[in-house]
Amino acid sequence: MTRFMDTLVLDRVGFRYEENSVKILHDFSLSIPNPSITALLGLNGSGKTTLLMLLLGYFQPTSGSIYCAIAENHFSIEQLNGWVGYLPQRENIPFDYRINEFILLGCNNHIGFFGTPGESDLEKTDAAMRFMEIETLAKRRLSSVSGGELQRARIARLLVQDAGIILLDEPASHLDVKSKKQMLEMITRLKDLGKTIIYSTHDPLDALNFSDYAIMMKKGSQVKAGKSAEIITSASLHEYFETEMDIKEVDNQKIIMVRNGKPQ
Amino acid sequence: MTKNRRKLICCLAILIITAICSLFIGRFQVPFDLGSFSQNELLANLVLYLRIPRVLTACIVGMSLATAGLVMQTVFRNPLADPGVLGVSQAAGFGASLGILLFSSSVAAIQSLAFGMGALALVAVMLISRWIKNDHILSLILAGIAVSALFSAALGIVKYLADPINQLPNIVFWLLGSLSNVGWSDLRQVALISLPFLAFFWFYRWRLNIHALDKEIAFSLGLKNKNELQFILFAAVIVTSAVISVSGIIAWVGLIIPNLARVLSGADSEQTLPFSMVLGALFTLICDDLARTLLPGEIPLGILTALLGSFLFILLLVRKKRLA
Repeated sequence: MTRFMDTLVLDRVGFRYEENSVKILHDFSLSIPNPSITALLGLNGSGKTTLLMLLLGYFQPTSGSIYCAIAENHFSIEQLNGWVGYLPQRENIPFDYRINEFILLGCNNHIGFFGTPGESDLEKTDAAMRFMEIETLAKRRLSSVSGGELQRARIARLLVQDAGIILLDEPASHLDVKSKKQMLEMITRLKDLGKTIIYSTHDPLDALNFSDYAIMMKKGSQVKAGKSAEIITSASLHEYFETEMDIKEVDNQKIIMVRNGKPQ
Repeated sequence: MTKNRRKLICCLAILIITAICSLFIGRFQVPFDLGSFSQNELLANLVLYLRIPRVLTACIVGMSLATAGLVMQTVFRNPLADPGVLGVSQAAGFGASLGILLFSSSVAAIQSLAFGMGALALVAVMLISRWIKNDHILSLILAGIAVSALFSAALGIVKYLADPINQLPNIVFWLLGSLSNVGWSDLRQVALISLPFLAFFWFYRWRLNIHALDKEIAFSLGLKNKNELQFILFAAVIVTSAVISVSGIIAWVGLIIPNLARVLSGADSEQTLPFSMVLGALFTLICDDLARTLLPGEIPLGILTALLGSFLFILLLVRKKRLA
């Protein structure tokens, strides 16, 4: 797999759903280098998913542009067919695929309208299953695996897709503590593979411990972006989550404490 | 994969054997002795001009409905969708009934009105779904419900106006579906429209899977053009209309066969589509054989497919609590 040093660039991006509706983004510029992990933080309804949809190319920005800078060249999202992969929090899959068939679907971008997957696609699927440690589940049906295993299968599909930029919409929100920790570690492993990961979360602690960069969003196109350690502070958390929080360090690990009511 | 292939070849063999046997059964018994053909011209004509086209038409009808059903189920991401989900069946039924009411003697007029109304329903659904500013798939379903209701109301009017002695029984019989009057010209007409689209779906069968995924994921996997979805729906509807215009409304094949195929082959449409085609042809052929042999008179095919289909459906539900 060829790997470029690429940078995802948002250049003065503005977005609103309809002509006179509220702006979700206004003149927002940002460069996200590869590889890296970026956390998208904000309350529900702050526009996190909308920003992911813009990065996916599913929505077009109302103003400005989003492109990927590879070496000296600029590529729009459409030109990079399949380069941006996306996973929503939950996925509704109406048919009961086997795990290996499901993961194989990731190769669709490399196959024409009338093609079927070839030997190399099958090999890629096997490799992805090994990487996600689910090779023993290959022949199992989706309905028979656990939520955490399904999550791994979906990420394996992104690997088969060869996505360089991976967008995850609240990947850890509905998982139990154990699966959540595994999920966040998996995101780190994806970065080690050389991917750019952008995920949304409403838990600032995830962002603090598992991201290089953070984008904080609030209704009314207020956006703040930068290195996670620098921009996630008590003050910014208070501003963007409308809740008083303190960041403490215990045993060399950061924790976020939500203040209950007024202190005596 | 190889296991599936073996199963498929098995099903195909059963289909071919059934098709050959079907030529010899019916009200007029044809002996299994090929020598008798050369001596008996009536026998030869019976097989050549009635049974061969009928058996082939039954196969194409079954293949088409099962394929269209699989496509609709995948695109609408619902294993209970059927080819009539966009209102085609009701519209074709209305078209044919109108044909019977206005030009009761002309088969060509009835068939072309049925086909035309089926296509018109599709156009109406596409236009209405554009007005509904909503999720594309959902708006198609809603428009389909509306158009279907509209045509079934129109069908009601036609039935009300029809002459109860001559026309109404014809309308009812047509709506129940039958292959009793099928000849080579009908076969040619269905085959010419249906087979090219079936060939398209055959080659498209793996990519069809992508339509079953969430739309944003499908988008990131390369399903970026809405025209592709529109074309697939168009193809499925045209195939269905073409079939219905000749056979009348054949219930349940499009719903039950893809589900049966999924039980045999799994969910991957690369496997499910060939199974649907073969099983659809086999199921329709067996139902048609029963339709012309069970009673002294011809039983409408649609009744038998619904009867056997609903039994099969219950079996599937009991066997697998969740439809694959």
